[in-house]
Amino acid sequence: MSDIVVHSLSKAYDGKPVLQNVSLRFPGGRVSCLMAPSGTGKTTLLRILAGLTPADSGSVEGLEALQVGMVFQENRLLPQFSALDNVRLVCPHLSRSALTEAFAAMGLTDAMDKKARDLSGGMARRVALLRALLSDADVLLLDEPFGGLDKKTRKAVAKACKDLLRGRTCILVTHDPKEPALMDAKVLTL
Amino acid sequence: MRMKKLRNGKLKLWAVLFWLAVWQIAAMITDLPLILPAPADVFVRLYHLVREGSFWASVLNTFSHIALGFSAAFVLGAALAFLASRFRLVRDLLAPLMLCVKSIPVASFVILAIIWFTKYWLSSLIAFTMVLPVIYTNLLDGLSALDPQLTEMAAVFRLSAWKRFRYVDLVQLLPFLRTGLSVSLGLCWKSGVAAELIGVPKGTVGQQLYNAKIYLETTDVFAWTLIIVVISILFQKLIMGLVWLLSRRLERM
Repeated sequence: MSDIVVHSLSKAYDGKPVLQNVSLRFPGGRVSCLMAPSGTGKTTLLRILAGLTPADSGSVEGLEALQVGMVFQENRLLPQFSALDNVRLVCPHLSRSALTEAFAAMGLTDAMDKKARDLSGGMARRVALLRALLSDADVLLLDEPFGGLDKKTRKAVAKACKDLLRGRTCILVTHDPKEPALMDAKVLTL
Repeated sequence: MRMKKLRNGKLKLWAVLFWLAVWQIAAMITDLPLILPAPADVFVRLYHLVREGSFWASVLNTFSHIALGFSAAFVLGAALAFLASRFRLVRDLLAPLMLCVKSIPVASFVILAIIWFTKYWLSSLIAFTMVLPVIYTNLLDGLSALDPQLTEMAAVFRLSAWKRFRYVDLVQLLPFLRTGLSVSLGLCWKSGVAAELIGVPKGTVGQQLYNAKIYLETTDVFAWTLIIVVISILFQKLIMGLVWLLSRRLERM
């Protein structure tokens, strides 16, 4: 899998620059951890990579024809549907037993048939993470994916994440300096 | 402090009986059946009416016409709301028209409809006119309130157009659809029968009501009014029941 290369990317909102001439290289098939203080444009960079926000200038190389999956800062689950249905929506090809196994790996066995609106914050976060990890995406963009999880759960979820990534390129945004080690990730700064 | 949820939708039998008793007492005090017939007399008259063939013909005629007007307004209102949510030009173009339709009194519409069209379709046309802006406005509000974060999620995961509509948009639209239907269902019956009462098309509930008024058969006026209320409630229950079933189905994959 080829690297994703960001060339001189800039973005401003209402004249206020958020990203200024950013150049980065994310190694293909590996987890990269993007670390930077709040307000430095990490989420904006992920949104540009996901194709949700256009950059003012600069370019991205290596994402052409690749499918992107994302864990947003918010969980963005469909509240009326069960946790299982939220995941099945993006990966209808997976069998019930495969899904059950994946839910169990995330410690979500009891949450499978619960409506998303009834899930706790931590459970909803893990369902959002599972949805992205089980999708057919070639590249995964994770915006503070372990937010709201306690230390023990975070460790277990990180392990499940690594298993489910199956050698795909992953860009993870975080504030927590311990997370790169949890994910065996290469650290990049903005 | 726990707040008690107020429920105003359920009819209690004791409350119905209480108001029937008030009606009975008022009828006994006035003792003028021409002005206020007793409930028992109205129910007896209703029993006789139901046994007449013309009763069912009138009810079926009015029901089918109003249901047709309602259905047509629902389909067109939904289609226009969808177009208006997509194209600003359509929204701007329709805004004065919808405002106009909402503000014009039913009676004016009825008179115009009698002048321009045949009386036969009067109740359909009036029901259509009353329901169209309600459905349009509610669905347009719903479409404007769709959660952009979920729309983005659907875009990132490349959900098909059908999946986006079925699982992301339609479920969010249901509360707006429910409100629109609930308001318009009552409205279409009131306006439809009022139109028949003014235009007096043959073989309709409106004509029966008109005849009862002309011949000062107050008991018949009450009986026919009761029939209109019952049919209106049944129609409302049927449609809202279907919406309830639809929402249950939509929340499953």
